[in-house]
Order: sequence, then structure tokens, then C-alpha cells
Amino acid sequence: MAVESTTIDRKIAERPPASLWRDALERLLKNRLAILGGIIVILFVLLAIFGPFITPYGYAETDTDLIRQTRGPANPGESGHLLGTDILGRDLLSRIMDGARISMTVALVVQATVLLIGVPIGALAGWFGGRVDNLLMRLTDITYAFPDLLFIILLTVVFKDTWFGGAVDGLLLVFVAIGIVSWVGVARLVRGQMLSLKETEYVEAARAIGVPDRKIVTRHLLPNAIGPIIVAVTLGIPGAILAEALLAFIGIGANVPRASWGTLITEGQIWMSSEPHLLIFPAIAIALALLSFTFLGDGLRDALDPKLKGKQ
Amino acid sequence: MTATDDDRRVEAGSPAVAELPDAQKLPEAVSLETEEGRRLASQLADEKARHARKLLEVRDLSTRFYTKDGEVRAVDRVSFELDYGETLGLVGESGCGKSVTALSLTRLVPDPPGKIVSGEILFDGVDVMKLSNEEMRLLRGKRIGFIFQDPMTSLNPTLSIGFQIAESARLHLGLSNRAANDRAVELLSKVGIPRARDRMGDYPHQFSGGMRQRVMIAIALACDPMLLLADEPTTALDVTIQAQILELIRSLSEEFGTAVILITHDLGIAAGMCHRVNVMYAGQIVETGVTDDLFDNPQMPYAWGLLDSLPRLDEQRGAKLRTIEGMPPDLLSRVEECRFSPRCPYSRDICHAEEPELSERDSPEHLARCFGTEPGRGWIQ
Amino acid sequence: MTTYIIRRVLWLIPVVFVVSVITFLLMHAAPGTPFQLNPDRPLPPQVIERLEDQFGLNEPIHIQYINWVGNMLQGDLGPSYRIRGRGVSEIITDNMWASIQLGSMAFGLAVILGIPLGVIAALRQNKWPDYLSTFISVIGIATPSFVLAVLLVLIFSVTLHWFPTSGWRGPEYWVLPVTALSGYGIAQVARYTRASMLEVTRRDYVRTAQSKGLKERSIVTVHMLRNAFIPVVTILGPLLAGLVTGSFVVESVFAIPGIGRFFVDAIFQRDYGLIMAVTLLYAVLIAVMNLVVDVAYAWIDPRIRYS
Repeated sequence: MAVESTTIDRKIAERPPASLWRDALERLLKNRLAILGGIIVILFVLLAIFGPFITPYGYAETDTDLIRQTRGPANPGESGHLLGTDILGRDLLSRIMDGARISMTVALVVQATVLLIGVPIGALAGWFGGRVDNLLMRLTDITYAFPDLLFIILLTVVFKDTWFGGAVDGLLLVFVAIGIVSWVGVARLVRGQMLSLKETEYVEAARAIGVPDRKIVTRHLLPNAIGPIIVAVTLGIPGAILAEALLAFIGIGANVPRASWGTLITEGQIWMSSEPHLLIFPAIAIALALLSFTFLGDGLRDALDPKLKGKQ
Repeated sequence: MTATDDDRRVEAGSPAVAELPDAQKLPEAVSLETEEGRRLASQLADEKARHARKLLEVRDLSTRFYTKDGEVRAVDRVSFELDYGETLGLVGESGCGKSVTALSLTRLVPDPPGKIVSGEILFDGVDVMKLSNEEMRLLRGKRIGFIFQDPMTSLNPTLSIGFQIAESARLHLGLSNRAANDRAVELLSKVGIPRARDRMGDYPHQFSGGMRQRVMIAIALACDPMLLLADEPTTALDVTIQAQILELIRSLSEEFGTAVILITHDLGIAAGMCHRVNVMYAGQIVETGVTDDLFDNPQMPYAWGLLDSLPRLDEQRGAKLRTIEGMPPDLLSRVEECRFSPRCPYSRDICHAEEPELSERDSPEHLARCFGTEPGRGWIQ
Repeated sequence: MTTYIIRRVLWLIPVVFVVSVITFLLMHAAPGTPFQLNPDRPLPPQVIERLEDQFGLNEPIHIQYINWVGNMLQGDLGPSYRIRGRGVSEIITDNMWASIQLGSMAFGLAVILGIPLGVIAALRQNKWPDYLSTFISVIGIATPSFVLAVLLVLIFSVTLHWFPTSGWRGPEYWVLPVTALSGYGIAQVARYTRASMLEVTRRDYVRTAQSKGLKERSIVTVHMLRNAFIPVVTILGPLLAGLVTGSFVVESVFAIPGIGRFFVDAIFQRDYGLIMAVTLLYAVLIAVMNLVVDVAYAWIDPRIRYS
């Protein structure tokens, strides 16, 4: 609208020169859902880091007094257990906190894998095109055709009994397996960004004055592609958390007595008619985590690339 | 286009000259066209006598946008009239409110954030502001056709152009599918699309920009409207295509007797196409008059500025392009001064203290909003 | 278009080949063979050896693969190593139907409910239909299918006794599993449709349609919906793949006799033939669905021409 452009021009003229990032931050801070999501994400991260130091109970510790007295689990609020205990008298809140630890680590490790594999390959394919690009695209086609959950299950079963499968309570294997099927999306995204940025005038200009290829990629292309990458990685986190929980639900993943949220939900399912709190609280935890990452990711997308709104 | 502006200004009375790029080579064509123009003018005068009323009377129209920064006065107490079959120019810088004026006439201002806050619009004797939404809908497309600026985005990419043209004919004229299609083919060939029948099933992306604008014109004329609102119809097109499209609009409006409001920031186009011109600045009409009067004897420093900033052929090469200093004002604040005074080289104290009204100049039809050129008390020669 | 479809179908051959090789290698890399891993009743070593000989499991791996390909091309998917007396083809054909029903109903529900929800939310932005639609989307995103499945059982079977807890014997058995599986899909489709509709509302061609004096309803249905579908269609492919592979969890919660629940068991038990068959079936299914989505894409957006 022509009218608005006048006011916008004026605003641009009046305010101090702000960087792209500052603009994006301003837009993000105005998005209430994204801020709420961000706060909950931070709370989860803090809980994952410091939770075990705050709670009076360990996640695997049985409240023997309780079991001796009542011969059953505590309901929420009873006997000093805020969210109650499970059948074995283990504090549910502590177990959910340990679950948060697992879920946040999944988010971190999987997305790190995605970045480490996806960004370089996508950048190479996009920049050089030709054979590298062809190879990447064929690889993507195959990965898309592969039923990824089945692939993850196959991988975890194969390496279950190796040292790798045992590392970090069996979690490392799960993380890497999820990461391996997830990087393709980011690689494709980076490739697409490279292809379109390659055609821009400023890259032409950089080429014309003889800037070496490597520098163009690292100085000009990647920084401009970083917004969409951040968005893709953030929006990929709920998927990773979900995949881990799903695997735990069917019995693949963290070794006992560690408890992923998926494991807690499996346990909750068994006792759901008599002890619904065992199902409800883990379900709330996973719901909150998925929602907050989704809201934060949506907010980042709208803030970093308004044009992308509604796509992705 | 700009190269012939000077000639155009001299012969501004004959609208045809401007549209023919090689007008000088074809003097006989020009004179013929000019005669026709004169004939039309006399016809218009007859019609005017028959019709006591105008096609369009706009009184004190104000449209505002409610943004988070405040209230934007996009159109501020705008009044004008339009005769049956007349072509009126609405000229000004981008953001001066000319597009919003046109959208307001058909109540198409996006709401929110926009809203028509006051004013009266009489279209063919009908009070537009009092119509229900349903009645308004019957006016749009049927009585008033719209041509938008960017033909690349104004056509629906997923529908065939045949469908897009036939659609309103089917709706408003009650034509059968077949009759509406025939009408669409007829319109397509009329706007100069070759092999019109074969191209009915094609999609917008299969046409060039100029061709798409022709399609847009066919859509606007589908129901034989009384008024055509053309919002910068050639701004997005190549210069050579511009002339063709303008000529098309002019010849079709003559053929159908359609009145046109032509919105443009290009004074050359306005001079060549329009019987009368309104100059808009910061949401207001600052000068209005018959095209000849206004171009021969502009009465407002802003209009001079606009005329002066046209590059001229007789100018020395390397001469600096003249511009109007400064930026259009902020439409947010309510000001008690001449809107143009901050940029006006002739402004005096009174210009900053009081807001001028439109007042009569050399003829009753020529009005301007300027203290400096007011007969009797003005100081600008 | 026809050549494009033919090429895409031909492209299936190398994809299926690579997928089968990877699966075959991974499967055999896992320690243990089907006969060594019998927890209930360990078999004597001589018996294991005889069985492995009988099924050709002692051959070098590439020979085993070639044998498998040869048999498959003749329509023989081999025996199940763990489910006595039943061939893999038989297991698949017996159980495929329930999975396909579940998957297609969930996908259909996601589209049939998700699109109107998104459209209504966009047209009534910031009014109660929008909030209702957003609420449903939030629930769908926040509750993974297995959580939704368990919660639905808790509420509607255990507490309210409205629907049976498990089985696949008629429409009343379908309600909860289909709802559980499609929840996420409904949410995603609704979200994308809403965003895309809002985007389309601001487009110039919608203003053109308004300037033609069209009825509100035909502006929405004729001019906006088709354009709004374009970005939505792109997520349908991945969504469908997710539904297909994700269905096994729902199948296991509701004890539905589908293929999905065999798959996990088959991997744990190294039931080689069954693993291969299910993986390839899923791969082909996903590829075909992606092709259908791409064709639909070209049908909706005339600017797209495959060659």
C-alpha cells in the first residue's frame, strides 16, 4: 500500500541504522507465543542441567519408607512427592526431569549432527553443482524413499550390543541414528539457498573483483543462508524429541533405570486406570516441550524471514 | 516516452498525439485523430446539456488507515466530479493518496486497517456510501471496471484467462457459459490478443507483461462499465508497451463511451490522455483544472515542481535533472499549515500558519490550493 | 506429463535396489540369526546349523542377496523364519489391508478436517472459529500419536466405555486409532492452510476478484483456495510417509492386525524375509504417494510443468 510506504520511509529515515539481526530480534520479541515458547524452552534446559541437583530424590531411587508403609505408589502431593511416585516408589518429578535431560540432549545432539553433515554437503552441492549436486539429490531421493523410523529401528538393533550401542546409557546410538535420517532436509535447504544466492548481484560483484570461491561461500553465502538454517533446525527439534520418545515407547533407547518420557508413558499406559498421574504428567511434559519448540520455531521463522511465512 | 513530452504539452488539447510514438511522421493521422477528438468533445458538451447530473460526484471524501503508529490520513477531504465519458487524471507522487482515492470509490480499501471516515460519493446518481455490501458488489465489475498497476500479480495464476474474463460477464450480465466465452473471445481480440479463441485456455504465466495488461483491460471492460479506474496501468511495463496500452485504453473508452479515471505519476501521460487533471499531494487535491489550463498555467509550486522534473529534449546534455527537494510529509499528524510548505521555495509565514483552501484561478474550473498564487493577495509571479 | 510419470516410475527401480541393499546389509550385520535368538527355547547347535543350511543362511552374503532378488522377482518372498508355516507373502497380504485402511483413513481425515479448519480460521481470523482451530492444532502438535492413542483409550474406552479398546473388526473399532494417527496431520494441514490462506488474502489477484464484484463465496472457493493449496500440497508427501511409518505404534497400542506391528518384532527376531518385504513395501508406497502428490501439485498449479 502506497500510504504505508510513506510512513515506513519516514521510520527508516528517523531511526538509527539497525542490523538485520536487531530487526529480527525486535520482531521476535513482539511475538508473544514465541516468547512464551522460548521461556519454556529455557526452563526445560535449566531443568535438564540443574534438575538432578535440586530434587531430593534420584531418578532411580525407591522411596523404601513409602513402599513399606503403603505398599503402593504415592499420589501427587503425598509423602513429599510433588507429582507422586511410580509403582516402585520412584519420585515421578525426578524421573520427568531426567527425561527432560534426555530430550534436551536429543535436541542438541541430533541438530548438531544435522548441522555438521547437512550444511557442508548442502553448501558443496549448491556451490559446485554438477556431479556433487547430482549425488546429493540422488541420496536425498533415496533417504526420502526410506521409511525413516524403520531405518532408525534397524540401526539401533544392529549396533545395540556394540560399545557404541552401550555408550551414554544406550542413548548415543539413538541420537546418531535419528541424526543420520534428519540431515537431508537441511542439506536440501542449504543447497537451495546457495543456488539462489549464487545468482545475486553482490555475489556476481564479489566474483568480478576476484574474491576466491571459498571466501565467497563462507563470507557471503553462508551468513545469508543462516536465517533459514536456524529456523529449520529449531523446527526440527520437536521431530527429534518425538522420534526419541517414540523409540523409547516401543522399548528402544535408554537402558533401565533411566527413563525417557516415552518410557514413562509406556509405564503410565500399564497403570492408567488406577494411577492416571503416571500417564498424565509425562504426557504434559512432552506436550509442553513439543509446543514450545514449535512456537519458538514459528516465531523465529516469522522474525528472520517474513517472506517465508506460511511456507517451510 | 519522455522524449516527446514537450510536443505533447504544446498540443495537449489533442489527446491522441501522445500515444503515437512516431506522431511526427504521421501528420495526417494526427489531424484525423485530433478532429475525432474535437467531435467527441462537442458530443460530450451535448451530453452534458442532456444530463444535468455528473457520472461521479465526490464530496469531502476522507479515508484513514489505523496503524500501530497512529492514524494515517491517506485521503483528506477530497472532492471532484466526473462527466459521462470523460477522462480524468489523478496525478501525484507515490503515497499521495491517489490509489486509495480510487479504491475508496468502490469501497475496496482493505478494512482493517483502512476506513472511509466521511464523505459522499454519488455514482450515476446513486449514493455509494449508503449501498449495502451486496448492492456495492453489483456496482463493482458491472458499472465500474478496475485496471491495476502490476499485471504480473493482478491476474490469478491458477485460472485460465478465458475463465477470468468470462467470469464477471456470466455473473453480472447473466450470460450462459457459451455466451460468456464468446464475449471473452470478442474482448480478447478487441484488446489486441492474436488468435484470441486459441488462447482462452492459457494461463497468465504464458503471457508477457503487456499482454497480461491487455487481458486485465478485457476483464475490466467485460461488462461494459460506465467508469474505468486505471491505477497506474503502465507503470510496470516497458516504455514501448506503455504507449500501446494507453492507446488501447483511450480508443476503447471512446468506443464504449466509458469514463476513465487515470491514476499516474507521469504528467506526460496525464497530459496526453486526460480532459481534466487533479494534482494530489499528501492526501489532498492541490490543483485541478482542464488539462490545457493546468499545464499552460500551473498555479501551485508543487505542480511546477512536477512539470519541471520532467526531462526535456531541448535541454543541454549533462544538465542536472531538477527534483523537488525534501520528502512528502508524514500523514500521521494533523497539521495546520500548507502541506507543501516545508518543501516550498516560495513559502511565507502564512503558509506555515494556516491551511489554504482550493480557490478559483483564471477560470471557474481551474482551482488551486496555494496562498502564493491566489489572485489579489498572492506574491508569486 | 506422461513421460515424466514413466520416468519417475522407472526411477523407482534404482531406489528400491539401493534401499533393499542397505536393509539387507544392515539386517545381516546385526549379531545373531533368527534361529540363534529364540529366548523361550534355545535350540541345540546342530539343529541351528541344519536350519541355517536349509534356508541358505550359511552362504556368503552376496549370494544370499542374489538368491533373495531372484526369488522375489518370481513373486516368492520366502518363508517367515519365526512364524511357523507361513510365507512372507501370505503374512503381508493378510495384514496389509488393515494397515492400508488405517493409513488412508487417517490421511483422509487429516485433509478433510485440516483444510476446512485452516480455511475457516483464516477467514474468521482472531474470532472464535480461529481460536477453536488453533486449539485443535495445538493439541495435535503437542500430543504424539502414541500419547494421543493412550489418552484416547483412557478417556473413551476405559472411563466412558464408548469404544472398544482394541481390535479391527468394524467402524466402532476404527474411531480411536484413526483419530490418534491423524491428530498430528490434522494439526499440520490446518496450520499450513491457515497461514497460506492469510497470505493469499493479501494478494493482488484477490483484490482483482473483489473489483469484479464477485460473491464472497466464489472469491474464496474459486480464487483463493486453489492458490492456498499450493504450499499445503508440498507437506502432504512427508505427512503421508509419516503416517505410513508411524502407524505401527498405533497398531500396537490398539492391537490392530496390520503390518506395522510385525515389523518391530521381525527386526528383533531377525526375521529377514519379513523385514525386507515390509521395508520395500513401505518404500514403494512412499515413492508412489510422493509421485501422486507431485502430480497433484502440477494439476493445482498450472505454472508447474514437469518434463
